[in-house]
Amino acid sequence: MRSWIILVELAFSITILTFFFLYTYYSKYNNYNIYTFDPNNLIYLNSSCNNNLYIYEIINLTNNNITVCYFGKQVNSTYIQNYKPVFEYLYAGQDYFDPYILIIFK
Amino acid sequence: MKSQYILLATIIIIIILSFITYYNPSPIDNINPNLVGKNFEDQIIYIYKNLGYIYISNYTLYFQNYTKYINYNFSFICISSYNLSIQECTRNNINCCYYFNGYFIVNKSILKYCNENFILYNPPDWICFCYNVSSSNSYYINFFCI
Repeated sequence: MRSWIILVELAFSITILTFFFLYTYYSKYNNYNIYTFDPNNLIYLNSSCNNNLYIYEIINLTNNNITVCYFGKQVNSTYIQNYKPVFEYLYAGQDYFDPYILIIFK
Repeated sequence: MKSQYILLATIIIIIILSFITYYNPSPIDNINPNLVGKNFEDQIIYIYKNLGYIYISNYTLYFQNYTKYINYNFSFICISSYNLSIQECTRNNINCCYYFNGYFIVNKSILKYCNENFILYNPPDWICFCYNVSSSNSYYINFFCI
């Protein structure tokens, strides 16, 4: 009788854990929907960190400078190491040719 | 006793699976060849319209290095009425060489990846790219003219 109870508990906990696992797995991928980012709107993000809506990194390819902006303030790259990159784009420049890579974190 | 071992094993498996889900080693989960290809196409058009065609060659170099860095294969064929000075443009290679004699027949044997046949007439200004972006499990091929 006792072993039956343990088996039922086991089946129950496996079911609960499986649902939890599937929920976290799919919710994670749904949140990172890359198509919500429009490259035309993000071209105005620059290394002066004047946009407080995003966490982003700009790698300037002309001088290899890396700028990390955290909701409008410039921070060290170690500050955002727990965030995941969700969008990446190689821009040619804004008003003149000055290629840079934009990476947005979430 | 036996079911206790099963319970322990299940817990360990769940913990391992959770770690794999949370600490996925790939740099960007949702980046794909389609997006990388559109990046190239949109920026070539942007350069031509806003910055000047002389920068196209430079951008293609930066883009090739960038795709290598993110572990993607990228290659392109380009034909143009401008001399874009792209490095691959040597001798018999048609990559962005300057064409000026009457008209030029483009067929799919020239474009390699893209299934296109057409004729380009001189002297209008045209720049056409056929490009191929691929990762380990998917690819994106497209053709566009400016």
